[in-house]
Amino acid sequence: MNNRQTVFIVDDDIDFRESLGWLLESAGFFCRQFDSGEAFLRRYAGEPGCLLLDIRMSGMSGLALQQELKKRDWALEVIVITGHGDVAMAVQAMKNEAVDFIEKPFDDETLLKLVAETLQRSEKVFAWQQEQRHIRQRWDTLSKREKQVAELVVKGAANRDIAEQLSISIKTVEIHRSRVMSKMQVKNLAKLIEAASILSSHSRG
Amino acid sequence: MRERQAELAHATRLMTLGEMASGLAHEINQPLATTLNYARGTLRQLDQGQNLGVEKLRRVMNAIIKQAQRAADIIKRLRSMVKKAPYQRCRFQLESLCRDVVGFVQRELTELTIELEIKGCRSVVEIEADPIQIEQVLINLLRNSIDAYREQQRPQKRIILELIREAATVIIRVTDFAKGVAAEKIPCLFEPYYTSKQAGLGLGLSISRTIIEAHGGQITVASDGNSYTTFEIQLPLPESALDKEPLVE
Repeated sequence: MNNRQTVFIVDDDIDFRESLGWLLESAGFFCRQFDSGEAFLRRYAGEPGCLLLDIRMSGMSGLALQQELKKRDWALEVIVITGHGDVAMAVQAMKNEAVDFIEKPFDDETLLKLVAETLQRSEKVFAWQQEQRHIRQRWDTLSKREKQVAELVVKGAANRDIAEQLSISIKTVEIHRSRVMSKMQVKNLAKLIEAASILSSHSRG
Repeated sequence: MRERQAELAHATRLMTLGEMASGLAHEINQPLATTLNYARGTLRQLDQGQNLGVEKLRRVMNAIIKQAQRAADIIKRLRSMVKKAPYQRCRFQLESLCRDVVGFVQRELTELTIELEIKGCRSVVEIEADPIQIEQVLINLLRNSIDAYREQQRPQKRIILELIREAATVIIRVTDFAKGVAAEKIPCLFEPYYTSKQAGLGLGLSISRTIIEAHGGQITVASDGNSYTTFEIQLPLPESALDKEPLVE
């Protein structure tokens, strides 16, 4: 199960953190533990997985870490762990786009199910993000003129219109267009449009 | 007189605990959640037919015991505070009592990200007093400092709890750097029913003073009116402690 994905645990209570690691590992998850938000940010390099986050910590709070992840545009899904009755904090965590929150002490089945589901979703999100990154890299190899042509092609302009708009010959448009297709590694117009739409959407899938 | 004072101290203690109930519940919740994780994780592996090995099992059992003990300790502390005990003097180490007291307010400290520094003496200070009442006074002072930070946001939040031994007395100082107390308010602070807090009854400091005076000591406050507040308690050291040279740790 999920052998490439990691469950990251960030909690400043060492006893609780280790017990949580024990529980998750007993269910076959691979875990990495951190004692603070700062420690996590120092080590995390965008690996796929999900984050189990204690909301109340000394130093950087869980909420602050969530915001930092968002700022860095990391797609890591966050499950927030709260103490009993921490309603205000839970609400804030959900506003920060946490997947869910879970109250201590929790039922192990509930937690394990939530982690499994989150990792499943996370796999898709990471795959999507990776694809976006690849497309971005290809796009960056286009020349300025090729990008102009590509943008017009995607908008549905015919070669003749493009030639007119850019004041170049139809022949030149055709050359640029075929370069765009090969550099972007797409076989047809539909694929190019798809790539362009992935490129233009910034947030998570 | 002693009895009435002990009764009043008990009543205000119960009130303080009431205010702290949710924080204390969290303190107990934490080791319980930890215990459950260990026990369930282990059961899960056993159910899957995994052979855990004696060493691993022993480690888990020890972790479970440690957590159960942690919860039991908190409850023990709570019970001693709740118990209606007559005024009782005994000999105890002041610094370890201070560390116990921090356990009561730990949750509130974490919640507000306040850093508490305990500056102990070079030597072990033993005093002769009613430990529960002294604890009560310290909890009261620490919670006042915590509340001050609730009302006054500061980027850095620090409380210093300092023990100083001076000739025949020991001085306990609690200092925060939240907002200070205005000079004209200082004389009212220890008056009963004087409070600056909406939810407060104004009994905390007045009972604290009664307790400290009953122990032959005094409590004073110093502040510049905006950047710090220091409460200082002076307690006499027991005579027998004076003969001994201070023990260097």
